[in-house]
Amino acid sequence: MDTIQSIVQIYQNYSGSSCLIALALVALLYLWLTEEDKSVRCGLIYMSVSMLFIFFLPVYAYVVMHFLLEEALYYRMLWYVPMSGLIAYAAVRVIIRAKTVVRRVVTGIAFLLILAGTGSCVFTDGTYTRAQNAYHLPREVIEVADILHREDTKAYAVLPPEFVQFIRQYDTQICLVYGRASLVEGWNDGNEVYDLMIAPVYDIDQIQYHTRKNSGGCFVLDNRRAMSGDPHDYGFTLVAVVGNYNVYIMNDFIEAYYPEYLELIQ
Amino acid sequence: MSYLIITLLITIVPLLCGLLPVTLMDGKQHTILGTYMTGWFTLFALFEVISVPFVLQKGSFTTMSRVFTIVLAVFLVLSVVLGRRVVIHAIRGVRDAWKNTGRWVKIGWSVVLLLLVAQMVFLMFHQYLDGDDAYYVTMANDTLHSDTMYRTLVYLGFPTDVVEVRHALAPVPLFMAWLSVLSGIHPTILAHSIMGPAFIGVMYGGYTMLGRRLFRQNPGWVWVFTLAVMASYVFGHVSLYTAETFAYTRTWQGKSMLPNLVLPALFLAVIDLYDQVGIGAWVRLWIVMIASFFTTSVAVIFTAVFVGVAGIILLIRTRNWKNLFGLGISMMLCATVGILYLWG
Repeated sequence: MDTIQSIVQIYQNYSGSSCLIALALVALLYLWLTEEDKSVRCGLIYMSVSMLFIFFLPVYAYVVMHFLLEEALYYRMLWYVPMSGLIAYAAVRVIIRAKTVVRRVVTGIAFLLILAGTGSCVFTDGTYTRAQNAYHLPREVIEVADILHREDTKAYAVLPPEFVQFIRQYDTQICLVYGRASLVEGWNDGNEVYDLMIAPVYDIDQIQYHTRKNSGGCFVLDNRRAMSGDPHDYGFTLVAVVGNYNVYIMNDFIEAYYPEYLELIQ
Repeated sequence: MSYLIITLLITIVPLLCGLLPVTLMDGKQHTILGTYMTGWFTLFALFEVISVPFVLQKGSFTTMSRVFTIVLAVFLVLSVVLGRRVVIHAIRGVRDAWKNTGRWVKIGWSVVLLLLVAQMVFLMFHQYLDGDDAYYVTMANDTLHSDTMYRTLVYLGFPTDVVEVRHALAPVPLFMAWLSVLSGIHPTILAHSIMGPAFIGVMYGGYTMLGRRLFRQNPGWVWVFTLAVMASYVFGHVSLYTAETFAYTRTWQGKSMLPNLVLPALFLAVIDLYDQVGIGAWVRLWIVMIASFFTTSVAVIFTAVFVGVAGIILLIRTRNWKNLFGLGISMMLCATVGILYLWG
């Protein structure tokens, strides 16, 4: 029973609130009824129906979800039913069946309107923002990475959560005290440093303690948030301000690896 | 220079790579698009076959990369020598197609191409910040800098001696790192600004190939099919999980390449099997199957199921037991990767 519920839930999550999957099923039914090319019938229609049928098979789903994959990945079975391919193939066949040019144009426009009405346009629904650079990464992340980067040694850093998914895409010389595993719901690895970094008030005593404990020499804090304590009192120097972020490096590390900031040590 | 190299790597190399395998396929595949698409899957399949043993043996990336480059170079030479007739056939095909295509169809294809280029340019200059890149793109970057393969705790940056085999069986990040070595372009720029848009082009190329087969009797309608697929994809962002969503938000990730690049080719390969076009159909199926393993490890399970179902339908439809041979090889491919998957 749990497996059936999981399958239905996965299917509903896949469909979202749209009727696009329903449209694909209608297309599949139409093609089932009208397709005459036997190879296409077997290769596209029977295959799609079979994959959909197998997706809903509880025994199969149970085996896959419990022994072969995580349950969260089972939705990928639905990728083997080519939704767009089926919708497009059925639509074009309907258009071809229309006898006059005017009817064909009207059918084509109706098809586009149905898609626009049931779907969500990826280019206009807020999915994208203008890229700030060719890396397609936030500008602040790159600037902070450039400050922390050392050619000859790794920099172990405590960073705000909004940095951790991106900074190592840009520079793998930077290592993290907590990473993505702390951020993702369901994966939360219980990292206490993450909890410190999302607290409403930064506990500097604890943050510097964990930074040192993890061989780190630097941390980056959001300067719009309050701090309990002053990093300078713990031997850390503010070396740069990047947008809303303050970059602190431990004085010993500045002396060893970041000589360009020596004059900032008070 | 970097951009010239990457342009060659994503245009000429797949095209040349496809020449050899298409010589085994029926004449209808001897087109520029058919060769180019086959070339991509051959490239993926070669990379899978060569890189995975190195990963499992904990070899260095540099060694694997050199071996793959040498094997690819030899393959390209063989491909050009043995497949040169395909080039002539393909060029003639373009000339004949240009002569025999009506004005409206030419206009239609121009619209399709224009929309495709517009999308690619849009994707070059717009970003979607996806958390999974913390794995895929960082792994490519880590591979380059640590000279190891899948031996870094990628979210943190610490080395590990444990290879996560389930990820390692789908070496797309290594492929990105290889492209990065040859072109000198940072893997993150490569994935987000170059391969993302490029794979959108490859994806619609794959659907056009499928369209050519579906509309074999009405070739003048293929552009309408490609346009309709495009419309369905653009409006297909209805949940986080659809293939359409993955196509436009994670194009460069292996898990997006499976449903969008590989699946249309897998369906086409199966339709070819039912057409009984001979050994070429099986060769195409095997190449595309291995390419599917290259993209993501879930393909190990689902492609095996897909091919199994296709085989049963084939045997029922044709009642030709000779097909058991081709099917047996397909199942052996699935079993080999499946054992590695379960072992990992």
